This record gives sequence, C-alpha cells and structure tokens, in this order.
Amino acid sequence: MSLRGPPNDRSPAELLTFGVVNLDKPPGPSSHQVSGWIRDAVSDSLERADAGTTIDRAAHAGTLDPKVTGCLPVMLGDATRLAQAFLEGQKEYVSVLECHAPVPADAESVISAFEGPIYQKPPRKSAVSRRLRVRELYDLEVLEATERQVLLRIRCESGTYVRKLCHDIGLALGTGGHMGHLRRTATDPFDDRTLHTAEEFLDALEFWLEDDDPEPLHEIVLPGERILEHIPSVVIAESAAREVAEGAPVYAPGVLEVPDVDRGSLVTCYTPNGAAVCLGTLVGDASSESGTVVELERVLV
Amino acid sequence: MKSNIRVCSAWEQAHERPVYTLSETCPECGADAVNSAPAPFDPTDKHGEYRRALKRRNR
Repeated sequence: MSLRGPPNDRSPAELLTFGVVNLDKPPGPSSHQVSGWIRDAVSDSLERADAGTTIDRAAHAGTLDPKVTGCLPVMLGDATRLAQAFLEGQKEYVSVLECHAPVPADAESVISAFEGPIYQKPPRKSAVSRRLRVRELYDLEVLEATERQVLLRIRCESGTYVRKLCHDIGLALGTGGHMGHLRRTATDPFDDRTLHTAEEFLDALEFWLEDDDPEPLHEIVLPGERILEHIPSVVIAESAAREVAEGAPVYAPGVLEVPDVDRGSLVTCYTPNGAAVCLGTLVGDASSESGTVVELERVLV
Repeated sequence: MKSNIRVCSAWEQAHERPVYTLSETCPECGADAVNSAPAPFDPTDKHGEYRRALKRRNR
C-alpha cells in the first residue's frame, strides 16, 4: 500500500488503476454494460503491457438509460471508491420534448414556471422507491421550438427524472408530451467540453501498447483527483498519510492546511505533492492542537 | 444512432461549450450542425485496426 506521486506525473498504468474517463456514452447499451466493457479493455491492456497491476472494477457516475448519450464519467480501479463524490452534484441535460399537438405560442412562459423546486414521483421502471419527492430545477431554457418539438436545456438536482418532467410540461402546455432524445451535457464536475468516445479510448490504449505513444492516453484518462476538484481539501503530512493508509483518522499534528468550511463537510485529504489520500468528514478545525481533525469516509491508497 | 439533437460542428473553435440545435445549421455561428450522438459501440471493435491505421496515416 504505497502513496501515490503527484497527479501530473503518473504513468499510463498508474492512470489506468486510479483514473477517470469522461466518456461520451454510446447509444444502445446500458451504462452498466459500457463500464463493464471499459473495465475489460483496461484490464486486457494492463495485462498486455505486463504492468504488474490490474483493475477489477470500473464504475460510472450517474446511470444513463440505454438510449441516452452524453457525459458518463467512468472511474477505473481504485477511483471507483470516489463514486459518492458524484451523488450530490448537479446534472445538465439537453432534451427534446415531443408534443402531441402543435406547440402553443406561450410555451416559453409556461415552461419557465417549472424552474425552481418541483414535485416528482419516480416512474414505474425506476431503481428508487416511488415516493413523491421534491427536486430542484436550477435552470430550464427553451433553446428552440419547431412545430411539435421543443429543445430544452435543463440544469437540475441529482435524481431528477427528465422523462417525468417532459410529461408534466406536456400537461402544462395542454398538448401532452413525452421525452424524445436525451443527452447529458454535464454531471458536475465534468461536462461536454472534454468528452471522449469509447472508440477514442480504445485507440488511445492501442497507441500506448503498439506505438509506445502514451500521449492520447494522457489526454483521455485523467487522474482520480480530477473527480475531487470541487471538494474542499485538507493537506496532511506524508507520515500522517501512511497512518491513514492503515485506517487511522487524521489527527491535528499531521495536518498542514485546513479549508474554511463547516464541521461535518466532506473533505479530501492530500499529501503535499497533490495526491489524494482519503475522503473524510471534517470534525476539527484549523486551530486544533490535538484530537481528530478528519474522520475517514473512504481510503484511496 | 441518428439523434434529433444536433451539435455545431465548429463548437471547439467558435464557442465555449457545444451548441445544440434541432436544425441543420448552428443558430449562433451558422456552421453545419452534425449528429450529437456517438457511433454505436461494439466491444469486439471489428474495425479498430483500420480506424487506427487511418488515424496514423492522417497524423
């Protein structure tokens, strides 16, 4: 169990065992199937490269339905432990609303009334319990409208069902409606500016293995730390990091820097070289001389 | 898969983020709008060898 070097100096094998790919999900397979294929491709590549390590897991951040495309970050190897960092994050989608009659003239004002908190009951085919719950729509923009279709950009809380939203907007418009094509354009902290397709990823692996060119792989596979960018960071000494690797919480003497956030917040502990050591909850503060400062949530080394 | 959601083909040069549209041209810069959906993926990747040969040739 050794500590990692700086995120920017990682070898391809290190990136593949603790990394994340901002994948543009292909239409057709489920998110679970896609992350399984990515896992298999990575473990095959590590074996062919005689890397000495392998990954046994790949996880995706926020399930997209089979026909949906767009931002699906896939975490590799030990980075799968970071899945909880995506749970609360906002999501953004571009969706087609197919109306069952011509779109009325006041559609934009009717749709803008949906911004803010809304009630939703999850659909029949859902993984969660079907209780009425509130979800927030942070932003709802009509991009375009044709005779029977409306192109929407939706920025919403995690767990919002766009399909249900389209159904409800259809009711509000008086025409009835259903969700057409859907594309996820952001799942914080990733968005559609840095997406890569599965083919690009496979090609990057092959260029590394066959042509000895790791550049494409460095562009596509980001260090696991990239997932934690929006989480406040605590810097701890290397000696403290070794203790954390064995399961000990972070005590005051090992802490070098503490962020200015409330107690109980999720924080990430880093060694001074920028490598992430663990996710934890802040239980102490900057002025503590002794006692526990961070309780462990997940150890990453 | 052909998606109704199209994206500006020149978004990397002309815009900060991809611009989506239902029409064939970008509403902001007028460039062609292409299919936003990636090609269907096959884990066996039968044509990978040829795709990579093409990429190497075009480099």
